Amino acid sequence: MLFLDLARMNNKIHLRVTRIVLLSASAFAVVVSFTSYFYTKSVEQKIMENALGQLFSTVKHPAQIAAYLDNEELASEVVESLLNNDIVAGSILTSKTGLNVVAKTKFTELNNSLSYPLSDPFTPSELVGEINIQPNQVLLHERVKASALEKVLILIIQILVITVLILTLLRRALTDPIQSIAANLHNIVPGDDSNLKCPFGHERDEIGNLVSDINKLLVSTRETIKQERLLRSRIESLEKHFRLIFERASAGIFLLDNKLNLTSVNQAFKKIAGIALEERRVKKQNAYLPEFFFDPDIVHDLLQDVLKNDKKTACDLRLGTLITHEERWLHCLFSTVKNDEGENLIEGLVVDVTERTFQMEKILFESEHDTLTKLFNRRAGEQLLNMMLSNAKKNNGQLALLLIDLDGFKLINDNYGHDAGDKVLVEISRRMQATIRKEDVLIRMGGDEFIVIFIPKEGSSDEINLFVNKLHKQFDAEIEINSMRKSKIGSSIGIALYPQDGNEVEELLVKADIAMYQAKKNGKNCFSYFNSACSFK
Amino acid sequence: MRRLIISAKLVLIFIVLLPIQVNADIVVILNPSSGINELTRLQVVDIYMGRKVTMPNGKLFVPYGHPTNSAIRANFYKKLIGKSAASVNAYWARLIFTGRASPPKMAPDGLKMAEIIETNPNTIGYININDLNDRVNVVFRFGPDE
Repeated sequence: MLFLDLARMNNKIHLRVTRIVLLSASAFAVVVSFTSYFYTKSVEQKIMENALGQLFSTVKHPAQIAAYLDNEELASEVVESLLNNDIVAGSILTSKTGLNVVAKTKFTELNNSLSYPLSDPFTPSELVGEINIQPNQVLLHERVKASALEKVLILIIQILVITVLILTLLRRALTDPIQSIAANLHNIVPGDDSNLKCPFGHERDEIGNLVSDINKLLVSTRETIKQERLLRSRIESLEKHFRLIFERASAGIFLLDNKLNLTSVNQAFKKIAGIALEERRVKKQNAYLPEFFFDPDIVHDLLQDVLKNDKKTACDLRLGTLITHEERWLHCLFSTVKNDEGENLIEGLVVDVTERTFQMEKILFESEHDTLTKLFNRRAGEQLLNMMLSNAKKNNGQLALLLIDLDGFKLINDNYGHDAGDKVLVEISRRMQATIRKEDVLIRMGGDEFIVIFIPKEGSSDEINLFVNKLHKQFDAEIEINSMRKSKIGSSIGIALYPQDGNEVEELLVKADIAMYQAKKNGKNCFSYFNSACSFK
Repeated sequence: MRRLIISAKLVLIFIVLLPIQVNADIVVILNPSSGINELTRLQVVDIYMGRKVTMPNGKLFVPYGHPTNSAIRANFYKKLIGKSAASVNAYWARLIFTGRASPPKMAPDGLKMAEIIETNPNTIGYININDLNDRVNVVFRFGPDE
């Protein structure tokens, strides 16, 4: 902990700068000290030499005389007097004529001594000897040392003072304000309204600039955040609306991936396709969509087509209800959308059109069927006839066209009223309908005239005869007109055959009509082939 | 009275002539037995300033001078080494204390000086050229402008 604190402390700017200043100043001080030492040494040396020179000039005269006269006493007086000066470590006076007087302090070797020539006191051009003076090196050294030490001491004191000054000033001018700014900044939450306060006295310097720049940044950040919030709330409300549209839409909306699995559906879809979903116990959304339809293969092919060809398709599809077998029809609108990865997806819009489909079917039924007997009406009948004839032509098949006309129907109408007639017609229709096979068609052409289109299986006349007889027998039984009265009604049947009697519908109809009249002519309640007489009565 | 006037005149003349006397040529003389006919100025300086200079016979020169405050002494040293009598006195005063050197011996006047030189073979002296006699040898003389 302490170590960490120390490490943090060491990273403070003012300490770092101070440390650098201290180190470089110390290095500088060392250099200066050495230079100063050598400089001082040379200066002191010069001073000493100068002093020695002056000393020499004070003893010059007696020294000259001593050398001149080879006067040992005078010479020793001179050198001894020189030795009295602390800057002199020793001296030698020699004359040309042999005098050699030495004076020196203890432990002093005479080397590097300064030599001063002694001229003849009376003939200055003549040299009579010389005096060597040895400077006191120990003293010199001590002086230099003392001087250097003094300088170093002053330098150290200066460095310390400057360092402390720098430390204090830096701390006051830089570290403290920055720290206070940092502490303030730390407490500011992005987006709130507070600004940084500039430390007192720093309004116009770099720190003031920094604070004002930070404040600008804070303001712009605040502005940005405000705008972001606004935008976000707008997007949220928009998203809410869209979700509402999606969720609350009356149409079912869903999205399929490219494997035709549901990826998302809205509430309406769950409601509309609910039965199919429930029956299959589909909990997860990603279920295979075609499964829900009555004919999955068709739906699969359809959707694959949509996917492949980027088509828009609208169609009515029947929902596949497994258990209830309730008939539900959905109008589906499929189109492709691309997702962010560029894959083709299918979006679907589903509306429950069961009611409409039933209505349509009813209308269709009513347009094709006779309201009273629920048999095909004339218009639908003629279409069917044309179709079946062309089928027969295609398959090299046969067709028997039976034109049935009731005998004495007008009488029933006249005698018992139209309701009775209607009842007769309904009953007759029911009986005939029950007689014919599935592939055969019964048509009410109008009034009391019916047509049966019979498709023979073998094509033999017996087969047709058998059928006609069976049909004709239906008229034998009495018909209940009302609770009190029953009536019997006969029928005349004219038969035209394809291909024997003709190739066209009109031709066959005409010939069947002719055969029917032939049957009427033959005494009614019988049937007649076109090309023969009434064959049964 | 007349005698007085004459003597006063004599004194006056003497006074007037005195500087001429003082400036009169000084010569350095030796006993003829020394065998030396000439000395250089340096030799004269050495002999009179206390250096021990030996004669050809191996003996030292014994220099003789004039009284301390005599004009000829001052003149002599002035001419010889260019120093005043006071400097020369100081020079000798210093040397006397060393015990090794002694200043030249003194002769009371020029005649006495000549007499000393005549009688002592190793002595050397200086006199006014006026006091010169033929019993001594002049070995050095100052140039006329000195």
